[in-house]
Amino acid sequence: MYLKLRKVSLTLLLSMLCMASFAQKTIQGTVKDNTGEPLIGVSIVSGNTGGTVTDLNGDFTLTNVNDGAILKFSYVGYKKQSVKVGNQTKFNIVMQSDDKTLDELVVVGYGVMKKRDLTGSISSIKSSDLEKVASANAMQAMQAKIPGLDITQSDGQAGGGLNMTLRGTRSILAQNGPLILVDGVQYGSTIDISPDNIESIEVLKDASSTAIYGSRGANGVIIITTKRGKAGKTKVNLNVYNSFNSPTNIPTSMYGDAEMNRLIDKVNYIADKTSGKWGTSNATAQQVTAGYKLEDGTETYSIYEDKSYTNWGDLILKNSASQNYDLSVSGGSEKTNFNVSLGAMYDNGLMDQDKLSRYNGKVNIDHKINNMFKIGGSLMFSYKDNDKANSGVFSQAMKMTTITHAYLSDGSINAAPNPWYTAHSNPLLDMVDGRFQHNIETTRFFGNAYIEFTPFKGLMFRSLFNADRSDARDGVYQDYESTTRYQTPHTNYISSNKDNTTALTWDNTINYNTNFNGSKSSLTALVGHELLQSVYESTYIFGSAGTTHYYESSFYDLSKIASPTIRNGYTKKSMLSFFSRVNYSYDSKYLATLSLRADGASQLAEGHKWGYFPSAAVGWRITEEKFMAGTKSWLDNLKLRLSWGLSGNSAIAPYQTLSTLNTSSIYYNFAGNDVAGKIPSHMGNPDLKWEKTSSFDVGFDFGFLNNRINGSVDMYFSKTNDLLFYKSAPTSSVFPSVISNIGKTKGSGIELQLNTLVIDSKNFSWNINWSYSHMSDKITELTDDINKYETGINHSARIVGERVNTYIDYETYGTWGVGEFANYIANHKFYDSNGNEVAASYPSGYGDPGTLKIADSNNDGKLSSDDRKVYNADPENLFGMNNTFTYKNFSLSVQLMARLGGYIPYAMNNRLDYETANWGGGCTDYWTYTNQNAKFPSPGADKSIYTTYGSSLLYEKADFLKIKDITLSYSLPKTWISKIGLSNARIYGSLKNFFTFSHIDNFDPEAGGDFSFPLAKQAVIGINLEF
Amino acid sequence: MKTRILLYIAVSSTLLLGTTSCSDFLDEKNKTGETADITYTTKSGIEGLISSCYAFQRGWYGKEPALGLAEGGTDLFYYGFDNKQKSMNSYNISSVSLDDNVNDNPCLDQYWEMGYAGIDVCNNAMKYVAQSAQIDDAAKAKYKGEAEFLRALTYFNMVNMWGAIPYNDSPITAQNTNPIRMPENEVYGKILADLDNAITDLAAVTTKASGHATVWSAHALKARVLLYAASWINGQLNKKVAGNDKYSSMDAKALYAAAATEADAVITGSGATLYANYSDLWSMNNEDWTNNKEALFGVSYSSDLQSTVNCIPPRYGNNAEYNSLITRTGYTRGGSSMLLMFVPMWNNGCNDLGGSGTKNTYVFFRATDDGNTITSKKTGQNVAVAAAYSPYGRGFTRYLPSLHLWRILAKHQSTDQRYQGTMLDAYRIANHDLSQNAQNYTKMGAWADKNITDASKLQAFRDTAIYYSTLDGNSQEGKALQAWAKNRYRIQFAIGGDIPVYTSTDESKALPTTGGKTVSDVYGDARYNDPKIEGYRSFPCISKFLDNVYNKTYPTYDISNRDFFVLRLAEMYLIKAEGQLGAGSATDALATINALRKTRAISGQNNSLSSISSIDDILEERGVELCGEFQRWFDLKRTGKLVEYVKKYNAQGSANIDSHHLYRPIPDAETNSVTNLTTEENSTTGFWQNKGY
Repeated sequence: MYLKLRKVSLTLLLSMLCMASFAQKTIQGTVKDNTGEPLIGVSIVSGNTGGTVTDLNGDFTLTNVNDGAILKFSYVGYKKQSVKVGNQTKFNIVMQSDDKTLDELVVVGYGVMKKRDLTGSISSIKSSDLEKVASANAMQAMQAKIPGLDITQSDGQAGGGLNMTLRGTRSILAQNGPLILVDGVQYGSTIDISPDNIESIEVLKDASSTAIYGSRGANGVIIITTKRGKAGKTKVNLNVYNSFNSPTNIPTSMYGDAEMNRLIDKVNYIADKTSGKWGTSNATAQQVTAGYKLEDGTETYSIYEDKSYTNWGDLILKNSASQNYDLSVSGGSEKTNFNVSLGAMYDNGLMDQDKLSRYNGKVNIDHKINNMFKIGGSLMFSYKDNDKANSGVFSQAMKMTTITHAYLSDGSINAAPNPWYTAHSNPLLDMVDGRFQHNIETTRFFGNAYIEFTPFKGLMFRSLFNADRSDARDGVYQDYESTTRYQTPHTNYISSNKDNTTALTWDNTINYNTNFNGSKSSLTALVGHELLQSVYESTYIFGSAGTTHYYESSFYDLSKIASPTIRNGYTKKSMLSFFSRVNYSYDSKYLATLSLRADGASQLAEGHKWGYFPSAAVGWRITEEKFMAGTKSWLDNLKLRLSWGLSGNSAIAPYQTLSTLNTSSIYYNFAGNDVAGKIPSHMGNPDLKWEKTSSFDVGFDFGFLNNRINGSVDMYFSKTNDLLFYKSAPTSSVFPSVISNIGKTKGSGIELQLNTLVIDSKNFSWNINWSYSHMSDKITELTDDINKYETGINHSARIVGERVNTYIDYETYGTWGVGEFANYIANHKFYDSNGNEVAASYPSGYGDPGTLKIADSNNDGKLSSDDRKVYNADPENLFGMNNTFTYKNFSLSVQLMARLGGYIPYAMNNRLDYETANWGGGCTDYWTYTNQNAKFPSPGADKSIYTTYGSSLLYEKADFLKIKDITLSYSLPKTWISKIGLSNARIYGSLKNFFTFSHIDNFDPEAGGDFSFPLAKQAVIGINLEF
Repeated sequence: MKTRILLYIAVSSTLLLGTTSCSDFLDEKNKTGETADITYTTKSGIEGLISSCYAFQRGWYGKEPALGLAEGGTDLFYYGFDNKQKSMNSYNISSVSLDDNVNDNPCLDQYWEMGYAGIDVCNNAMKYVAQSAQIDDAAKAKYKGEAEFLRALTYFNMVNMWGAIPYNDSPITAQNTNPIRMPENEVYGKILADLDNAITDLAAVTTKASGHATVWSAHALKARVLLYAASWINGQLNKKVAGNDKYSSMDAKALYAAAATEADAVITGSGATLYANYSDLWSMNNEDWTNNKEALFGVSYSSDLQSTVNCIPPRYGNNAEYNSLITRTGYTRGGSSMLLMFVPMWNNGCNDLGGSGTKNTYVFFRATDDGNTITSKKTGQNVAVAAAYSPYGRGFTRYLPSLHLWRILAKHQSTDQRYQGTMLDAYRIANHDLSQNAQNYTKMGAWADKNITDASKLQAFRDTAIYYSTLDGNSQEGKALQAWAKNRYRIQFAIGGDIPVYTSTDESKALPTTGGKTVSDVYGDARYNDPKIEGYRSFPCISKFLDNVYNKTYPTYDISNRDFFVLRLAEMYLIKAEGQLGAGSATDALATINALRKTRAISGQNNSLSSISSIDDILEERGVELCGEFQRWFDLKRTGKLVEYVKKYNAQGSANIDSHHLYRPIPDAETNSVTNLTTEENSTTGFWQNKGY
């Protein structure tokens, strides 16, 4: 498919190059590939007299050709051919495909380039690679394929998003996600485009490639190019798949007897501690459950006896199925091409209310008016209807005791099933139809029109206008008898947020290229100008609404809200940019690129609105040098690239430079009247400017053994200055954090991409695509003399000298045994910061048998914040391996990914609520008299040490290796399918997320340590037909 | 051809350049945001600014962690089963910012931040009121006085927690990473200056009908500040108020006398009167402080509990919200949480009485809406219980009275209304018909409470189901009562007996009991084999703050619109008495105390004391009158009694407490962000952490 698109674009390009020529005779011919398919747009040059390109049938005609002339046929992806005209007038040319990937076209900022001419670090994924993995989200197919690009699934919710970072983390406050463009226009990170509609995805990594996007480019740029029509036979493509989703590697809580043992161990601990005779208490299940019974009178002891425990996870999570349908029709004539596609997707999560329906439409039209003008446009439409389950329900289920029944003996839901803690509402309350409704409906139109004007060879003016409008309504209805409202406040809750975003883009570019009349130099120059404007408006209405079931009117009828609160939002951002770029190449050996962009942004203060982003890069194709002639037999390609550039991060929200009052009112009641007031909320910073990242990249591209081994290796170093961060001040100066350009980070890394064609025989081939990256980043400066900033949320911190994302917390090393603490104090000396010996003063309760041992790392006899350890939150190494085996019509692809380094706070480790809730299923290694050096404290120990220091148990190594996807596909033989009018038919089946290896039992760390929506494993079966 | 090309180029370059000519394209206008200079010059903007000054007080008065800081870890209260500040209550307190931890958090960092944010709003109010051309001079004076009063109140609470603190007297316009801690006696000087100005500025505001602070609010607060200055600044610190000429020459005696004078002025001039019936003071019908006869200043909560009008202001920093301990129901509703703080598990901890639910084996059901009924075993009829049970509240088990508090209240039980008005010691079932639902108590229903004289109440509250007796269950008297109670209701003695509330008769050792009783001594069965009957979960309730009036539209009571009385008349009597004692006249002090006690007497009983000899007597009277009203910890601190009393009366905190606990730690959030941190105490250039943290 990709090749065919290239044919079209080349046809268009080359047809513009047609020049009148003078010669003696007219010749005709046809150019085909080695399978007999006509090739469209093959360039034919005859000496100095001119040339032509083949038409839709692969035919060409040249007039006034000399007999002595030499016809040179060239076509991307095929070996060049030269044929002497002689006395022939008819030519049947068969082009041999060229495995060298060097002449592939790669989309770069505001244009395309041949891969051989690149000076920057750009990776690309073609549609053929995307097709291998059936996925609702095209980005998912890129996981572990592009070195330096870290993609993780954020949760297992239907339509759940992905997190993406490129080349590590450099920003603290600003987003670290790359800029995503669709057909050259900023699209946002929600990629609701069917992978079937995508022609290619390019990832621009180094600053020389991204600097052309100026203030938006620092985190890399991902350019998605959608498929366009091509001249020729109309093609119809249908892709249908079904996916069966089931829970995998989900956290569990202590079940049944394990939980009962914990209750017994608790009682034993307390009794032993009271008596001072350790190991003597022998409580029974009957004793520890005495007095605890369900609403219907069922004794918890009888549940233990008949083992009628409740597995809440099983009740909450269900297997589900998802479907996806894509239909596209494309074709066209020499002048007009079109591509129309429709898609429908029904994605279901593991919880009942978790559903996403998506309908997509897309139309692309390109029309050539004459040799000078071309116009075209595209319109994408998507509609999404997303039901969401309550994110707290799974976690509620994990807290719940299993020694209970979900339903009472009369069949009704046991509303408060935890006899130990009646404030726990039954998570199944939400599963009653209508009780919990959360629906997000989104409509988006994304459309553009362009005109291209080519007044003479080499010069092209292009103007594109894009309008992007999305409307969303996010409505919530929580019944007074739903899980979170049941206990309090026992009233309905209704909220509805409506928002819309209108983004306008206008791009104007002039592109000029010349080879200086056939000299060895060639030059491409680009100047351009871009206008962006984005307006966001929202209205949010919420409030409580009585105690009547409004299952039908749900959140649609806002008049049910007793005292609605209304919040408004309006933000407008504008940006005005100018940019230029020059690519120069000498003899295809020495390459240079220079670019400069100027961005003016409304978000910045007067006098700081403009930022300038230059870049420079050089490339040297070493294999083209004469002295490398001797290596030609084994070395196909060796290129050195060096680049430097400056790019920015535009994540400054509007109005940050202005001091403002809080947008919502604060009320106070004076004698019955609620008087509204507004308080200051934001101290403006009139000096705010872009965060800027300068980076240096050195890379080699290589190909050996007839390119059976090819790839590239890159090293980069980047420094981010003027970091956008909250300038912190003590809270006594009221505004503890004012967004400012303070601090610095730096990053570095190595990336390796390797393609190895291990076996390539007639019927069997085995190709491995490897990717590896090592990345590191570091905060080098924060503000003034402050070198640590704690966010106060989940122990995350920013610390000078450490990775950008870290946690800071105490470190545990087991639990105290009986008498152990007294020995420790007796045999230990403690010193204060001046080196003077001091007496230990640990908090009271510390050192009790069965409580946590917390590392006193500075040995000062105290547990203070200085004792805490820094845990890195980001990975250090990413590894991907994609195997493709083909045997005749069978193809098997196996994708592995590993993400190594870093810690996650695994929430289940901290589920040790002593009195009230169930513990995590993995927390069975807790202290008992017979298991004294345990990881977790005794369930009977006083909880004060645990509540203060227990979060130190959270951190687990996040390393994992995953067989992400196994897909087996079979293409039906053409001889069979052609009889029923098909040109291609492929059936496939995949297993996704079936095998994960990590440090944590029963858990997939990909989405982090939290688990409101566990990830699912999927079995996919699909069919792909082409007419 | 050539000309056409040139034309095209001309057209396209015009297009390209034309787009850049709109020079205002990059201008920024914030349409939904407002700025101070515009909003605060309008009349409604100023009114809103003044209302915001008050709104910050809602973060402290009526909220759980503030209760812990002001009353927890004292002689009066133990932490209960589900307390969220156990470390603080047991003096295991550190400076670490626990921000979002709502399981165990003193919230000092959040209160530090909120204090300065609230003060900044007061400073803004003073600035913009003075500038405004849209309000008249009378209104200007009134607004200025209110801002001064509230700034003084906030600084007063802060200086009493942390000691020396940075003092901001104008709106913050730039971040300051080198804050200087102003010595306590100077902060007191500033607070007194603010109050004197407020008294001048509020001179015309003599009635509290508007809900704004009055001149008497300012006088009353001044009386309290003078008393603290006398006992703490002069008494304990042995310093004089600084930076305020009016007070800097006064010695302790002079300050005590001034406090007494100020308090007396309020008693005689404010128009406030004491209720003859003590329970009217706390009736939900009188919760609005502007209507309550005793209240001098209150923090008001709106009766609209469904919308956001009771919420506290959000944080200024990047963490947009304070934690749910402070906000209670977050930023969607807000309200006072005092009604939850002292409630035992009376309904959901009563398996011996048949459990909690709607079936005919149960006697208790805390109403969740109007339609809930319990089926009577006796009549087979459904009995409506909602209205009857609403005043008992939800069993949050945050705090229970210490043995010491129970005893000082019970001491004058027969003469003083404040025992019955403060301690809810009997839980009664809604209707006589339900008495036979309790299988474990076959004689239930045979005993009706004689104390209830109101006929309508008698109808609803027929029979006692749970009774807490201050007696020792092992004493003769206790045994007799136990014998009477047998099969009638569950009785829990303070100590001794089947299921005591405390572990010891010794107030310095008594702790709430843990666990149930495998076999009941009285009944010989396992009815008390239930940890929910332990002292941590089953205890008499402090009933002052309960929502005792049934509200059909809002039956669940997870928050309340009860106003918090910050200053009330009875305190003025106590200040006056302490001032008189401090100034040297125990006789005058006794007369003042007895004047208060007379109105608190049970009709016809002699409730007077015979002598006042020391501050301990005053503190006992304060405990009886003001327990739970955010004063005790400060009272013990300023009188030098904190360490002594905790060791004597609070076994949960006695092991850890020492003198460094007289100051709370400066939160990490502050010390982490200052650039002038020093270890030198009382530095005038550096910022130091309080000793011992």
